[in-house]
Amino acid sequence: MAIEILRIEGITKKFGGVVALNNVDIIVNEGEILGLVGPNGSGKTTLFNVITGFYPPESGSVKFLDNIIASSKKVLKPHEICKMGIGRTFQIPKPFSSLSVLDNVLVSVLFGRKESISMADARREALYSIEFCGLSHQKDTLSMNLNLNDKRRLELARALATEPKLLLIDESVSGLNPNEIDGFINLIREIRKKRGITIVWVEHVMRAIMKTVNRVVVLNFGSKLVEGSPEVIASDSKVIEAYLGKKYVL
Amino acid sequence: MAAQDKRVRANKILRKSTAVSVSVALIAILITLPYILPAYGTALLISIFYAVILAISFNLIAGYAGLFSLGHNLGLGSSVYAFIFLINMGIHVLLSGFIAFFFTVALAAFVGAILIRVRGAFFAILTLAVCQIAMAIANNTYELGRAFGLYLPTTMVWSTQSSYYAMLLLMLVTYYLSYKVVNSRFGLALHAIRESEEAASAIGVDLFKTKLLIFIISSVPINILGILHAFYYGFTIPIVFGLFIALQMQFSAIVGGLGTLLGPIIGSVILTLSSNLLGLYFPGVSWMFYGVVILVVMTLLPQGIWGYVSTRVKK
Repeated sequence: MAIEILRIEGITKKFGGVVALNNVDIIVNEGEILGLVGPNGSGKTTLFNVITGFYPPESGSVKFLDNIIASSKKVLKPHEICKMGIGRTFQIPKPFSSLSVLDNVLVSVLFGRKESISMADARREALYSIEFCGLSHQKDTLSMNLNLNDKRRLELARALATEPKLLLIDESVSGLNPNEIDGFINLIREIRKKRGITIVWVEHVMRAIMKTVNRVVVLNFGSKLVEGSPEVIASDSKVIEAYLGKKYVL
Repeated sequence: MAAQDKRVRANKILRKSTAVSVSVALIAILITLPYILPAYGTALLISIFYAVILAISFNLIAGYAGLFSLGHNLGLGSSVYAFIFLINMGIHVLLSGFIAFFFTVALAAFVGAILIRVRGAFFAILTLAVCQIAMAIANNTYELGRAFGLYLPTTMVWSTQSSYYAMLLLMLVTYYLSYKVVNSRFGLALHAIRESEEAASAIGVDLFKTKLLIFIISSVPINILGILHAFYYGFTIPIVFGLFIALQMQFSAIVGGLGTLLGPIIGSVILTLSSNLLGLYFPGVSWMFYGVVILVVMTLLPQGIWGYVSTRVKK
């Protein structure tokens, strides 16, 4: 029996007259990798921003483990949600440019965890996350000098260093070359396997998503279109019409 | 690898000991200077210390937290006014000092809690507005002396030498404070907020708490400076809340190098010296020169003098 880690119920989010999310229900089970796909503007990133406390929803609720973290009445702040155990990355990397890779991740360890931690332990933990994400050789580099691939890995390292139970990954591989994409797929698999972290992954690169996830949810114009296994999604006529364009061959 | 680590550590120790000996020598020189220099020189140094204290405090909030305050002299003005007002009420000096200090810290907490909810240009404009309100209050309140300001009883005004040492001490303490803040966990959170508020909050940094804390911390040296101002100058007028002082600390920090420890000191020394010494020999022209220095530095070295030097040295 699968255990629920995140329950999104009837979330609606409007920006003026634009309905970015319309009555969305999604359940994420512990230990799975859930793919979240859909055309540009379908509300994927907005959903992440609602879950992590950046946008308050107009209606509906988000329940993480046993706590309501966002609803129309009550919204926790992003830093509180982080401490509860939800980590996220940003589609456009937001490194702390003037800080080294190590210092970037150190901020996560020092501020993102529930327990306070000594500086020496924090450094060790940060180095562990950096190594996990394959950035050891860059640990002293200023993060502004990293290439796109390494900036995306830094996003992951920072999110992992907060010790999340649930990790929301926003387009980690778009714009990367096939080699780098394969590297990321391995990394994301390892995050689940070795660290036991549940993952929701927003991605446009279907090759990466289809090879990695257990289940896919498709958003279109802010509403949930369908959900199911990658095979079911790839041959679903509604998904093909709205998003994939032609029948996607696995 | 181990050998390299050892070399790096040895280098660090060497650099640290050089830094310590240079600063000890500098402090020794600064302590003896009033015995050597003519009165004007001592007064000039006091105004440099004054500018340095302001610029370091401004740098803490603008350079490290990215909050560009245009009203950072609110603490200066309100502490001078509060202090002299209390003294004139007949309250003991020490008690007046304590009350004035805690009043201004509480004021910073109150104003900060409201203003840090907005960002960027809005924050700058609001800080400016608050200072202008304070100036209007000072200008129009009978008890605060209106445009004439408030005066300390002349017997209480300190000699130039006492003021010199008090200012020197406050400047050193302020520098130490900024060094400690920048190199702490809290300083790391400040850096993170300056670079990206969103990313910082997503990894657990409490934006409101961190910004409010730096707002209050950066006002502390200025609040104390207000009390020293009262002892040194013996009076205050509403212009202490004016935009000019706010801009002066901003220019000093920016010319020297925002977000660096030494930048605000270098900027303050250059700008205060140039405007004062040139004012001595070419009255009226000195402020033009002040403007030219700012223009030249900003065009050629946008990271400021020390910002430029330190990135060069690292390479």
